[in-house]
Amino acid sequence: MRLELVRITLAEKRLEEARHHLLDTNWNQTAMPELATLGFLALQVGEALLDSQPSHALQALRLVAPRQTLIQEQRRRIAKLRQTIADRATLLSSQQSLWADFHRETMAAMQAQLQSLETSPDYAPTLNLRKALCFSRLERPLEAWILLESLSLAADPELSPVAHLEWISAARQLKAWNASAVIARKYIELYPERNDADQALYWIAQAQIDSQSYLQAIETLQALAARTSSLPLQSAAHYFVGFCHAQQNRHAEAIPSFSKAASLQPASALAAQAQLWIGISQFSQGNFPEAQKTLQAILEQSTWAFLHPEAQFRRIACLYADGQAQAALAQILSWLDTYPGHPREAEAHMLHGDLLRDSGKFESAIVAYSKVGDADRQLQFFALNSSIELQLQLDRSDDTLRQLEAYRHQEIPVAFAGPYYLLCATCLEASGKPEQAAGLLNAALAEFGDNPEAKGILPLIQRPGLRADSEIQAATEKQKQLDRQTLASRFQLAWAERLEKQDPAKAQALRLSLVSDYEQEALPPECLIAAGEALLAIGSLETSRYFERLLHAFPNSEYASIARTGKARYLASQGQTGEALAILETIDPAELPTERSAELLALLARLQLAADLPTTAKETYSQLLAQRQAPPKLKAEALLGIGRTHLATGETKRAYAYFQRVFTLYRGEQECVSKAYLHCIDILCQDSRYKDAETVCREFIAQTDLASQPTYRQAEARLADLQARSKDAALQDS
Amino acid sequence: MNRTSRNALGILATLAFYLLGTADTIHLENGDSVSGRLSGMQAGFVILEIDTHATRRIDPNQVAALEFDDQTDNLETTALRRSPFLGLLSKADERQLPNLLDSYLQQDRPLEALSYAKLWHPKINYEANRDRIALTLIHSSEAAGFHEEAAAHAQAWIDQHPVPEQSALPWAVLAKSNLDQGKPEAALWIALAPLAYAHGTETPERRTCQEIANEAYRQLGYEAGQPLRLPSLFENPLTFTDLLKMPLPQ
Repeated sequence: MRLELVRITLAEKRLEEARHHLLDTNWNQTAMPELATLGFLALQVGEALLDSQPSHALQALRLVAPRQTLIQEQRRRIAKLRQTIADRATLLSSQQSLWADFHRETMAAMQAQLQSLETSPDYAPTLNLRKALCFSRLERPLEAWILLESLSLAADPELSPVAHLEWISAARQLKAWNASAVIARKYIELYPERNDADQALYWIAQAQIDSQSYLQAIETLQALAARTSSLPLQSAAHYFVGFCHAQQNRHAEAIPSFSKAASLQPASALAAQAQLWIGISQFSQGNFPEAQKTLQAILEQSTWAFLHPEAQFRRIACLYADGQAQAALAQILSWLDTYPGHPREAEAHMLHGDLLRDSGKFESAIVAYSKVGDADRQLQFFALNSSIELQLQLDRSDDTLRQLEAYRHQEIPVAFAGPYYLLCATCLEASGKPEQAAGLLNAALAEFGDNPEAKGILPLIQRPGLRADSEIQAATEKQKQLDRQTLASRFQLAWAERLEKQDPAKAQALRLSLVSDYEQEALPPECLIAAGEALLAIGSLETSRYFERLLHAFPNSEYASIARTGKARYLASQGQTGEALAILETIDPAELPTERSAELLALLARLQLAADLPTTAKETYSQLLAQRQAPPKLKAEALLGIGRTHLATGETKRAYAYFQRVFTLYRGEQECVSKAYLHCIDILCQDSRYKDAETVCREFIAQTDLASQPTYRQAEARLADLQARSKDAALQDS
Repeated sequence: MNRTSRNALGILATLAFYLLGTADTIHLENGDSVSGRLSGMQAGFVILEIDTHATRRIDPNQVAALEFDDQTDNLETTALRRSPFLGLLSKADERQLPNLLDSYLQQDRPLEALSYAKLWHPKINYEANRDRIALTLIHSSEAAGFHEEAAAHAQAWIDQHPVPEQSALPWAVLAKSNLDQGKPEAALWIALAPLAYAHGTETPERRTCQEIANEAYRQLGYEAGQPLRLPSLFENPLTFTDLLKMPLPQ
């Protein structure tokens, strides 16, 4: 009866009723044919509920008995009938023939059903695939994985590819990007000709992007763009190639990819996103006028209204960066009025505050900073910091203390512990409470100093006037005794920094002792860097471990780029030029302090030259020259490097100009100057201008402070030959 | 001896045992039958006691079927009577052995169940009965506290039956073993397999698997609403074989 109810409600598409009759009470069905009927109906209900009610769908699918169970039950039914026939045969007389016919027919029907069951294909794979889909929709990817893995490997030509694609999905649900990429690669290996192999390639690329393997993702996406005929996939492939380049600060390469993505499907949302990224890349390149134009184009597209707030915000940032503060100020007010409650509202208030501050409107800036809110504690701190700087200028230190206290009521993020307490100390000192400031700093050190995740602790230790050198040394020993290794290592690093000028050897020894005196796991990022660089200076094989420890344990640290640079320097010193280059090319020089940024560029250029990439090296040297605060030594090296690249391509005049600039602008860089002189002599000789070559050579040799340079002695040796050639040339001319 | 004489002897023997109250019968391949009392196997031959003084030794290759006359005796008696003749028993007769082992388990006699299961498992003829005894090996060794042995039997079962259709017991035992060894990730994958393939009503073994899975989730630090991160899936580099969580289909 109940089965009939399910059948009728299902046939009349009254799905909810069918579900209720099927699932809301238990079934005790074990006998055939009801067991088979139940399975058939349950499968239909499960199919119908799969998308909308996966939990009930799974419940229904679990009511379907395995085929082997149906076969066993049918056999049992046949055996029972046989027994019945045997029992009745002894009792029947005149009606025997009727019963015999009935039993014969019944038996034949049941045997036919059994045979049908035995010869029909097993429905378990189809059933399991549906169960797997239920598990996926229920966010139970492990159970889905178990079913899908088995189905994928079963080599069923219809089911296995479908299961395999779903298996990739299950891995992505677990955010196991590498795993999903491996499964997707297997899919492409098994089914290279299927159209949905393109989708698998796309997922591989997504997996690589999510795991920040951008170079590999670019290769995969380029392969996808080349093979797919699907326009949306092509467009997406180019878009994400651009995205990968942008993530590696290769904005020059990113822009063409984004442009291609936009041109393939100009009316799509992806095109709008691509345009936005072009604007972001142009901004990152410092090309503010072009960035503004690009962002303005987005604002003029009414169909891209969903991006207008973002584009407008970034356009205002462009105006600010381009020095058009007044225009930016007007527009930020309009933005805040037009888009209240937008996710960027807090940043907009921050930007508004900065613009007002730069316009000298301090009171208004303070009000703007106060509107940043506490949804983003990092931004809130930056706003508080900027506001307090202004309030201290306005001599309102008491107000600042109240605000700092309010900030402390919510838990202080460990990352801002140092800067926060430094700010508090500054305000206390401004209020005439230096002892309280010192006490607060010590309390902060006690609370946060031993936490490797806490940032800005060294400045607390190094606060001018707080501790004498001897006190820092004593504190180091004390913290070691208390087994507060992280804090002890910070004190030791501060001690080394104090000794830098008066005893650099001892300072270096202290940094090296960070390696021997402490467990690596106890060292905070700043000490890992110091230890790594100390080891690099002595060419230790342990160097890389310390940089890698930082990158692994503190991937978001402000020292991450320095660690990568250090690792690249180590690899370069070991002759692993390719690996070093690969690392350096992912670092944005702007992320580093100025002196380190110039060193990065110099090293990068050297490696590019070594890798026979003269054009790229020249661009890198040009970037280095553009850095105003780069050390003269590196600028001289840059000029020398550019000169050499021109020399390699036979552009001797250009090369000569660069070499000349070395000894005219950077006379103090003896090694570079000497090399530059020799290059100039060689160029003049190549042009058979022996008289000029002799003149330059004499000029070089006259600077006896350069006598220790090897090139000086080479010049000396050549002078006689140049004199002779010069005379010969003069005779020929006359 | 001619056919008539053999038949006469058989009838006499049957009559004799009818008078005595027991009359097991050996049906031979040649159509003959011999009655007596099946007493066991000796040197590979079936021993049939014709009377108190006479026995017959019959080559098992000549035996078509054995018929026991002890249906009114208790299960232990009838099963143990049949046990020496494994390989010659009918499916129904052979079934009595796993039935006996089940009854031992219900009576909390796991050691006996385990001993007999180990003895009989290699010789069982019919697949359904063999599977039952294989499950008994797992159940009884676990109940007797021989957890490592139970895990070994469970693994052997899973190797033979990669899909958990019949019983969740092997997966429950193996998952528990992994959890006890501090391998929550392995325990989780194993425990979830019967739950993924589940059909019909819930069984105690499936409930056990669910409990083990819950504990494994807890040990892996999984909280509701957070993505689950399984260490093995985040290793670099991964090969396809590294990812397989189930034995490959046979």
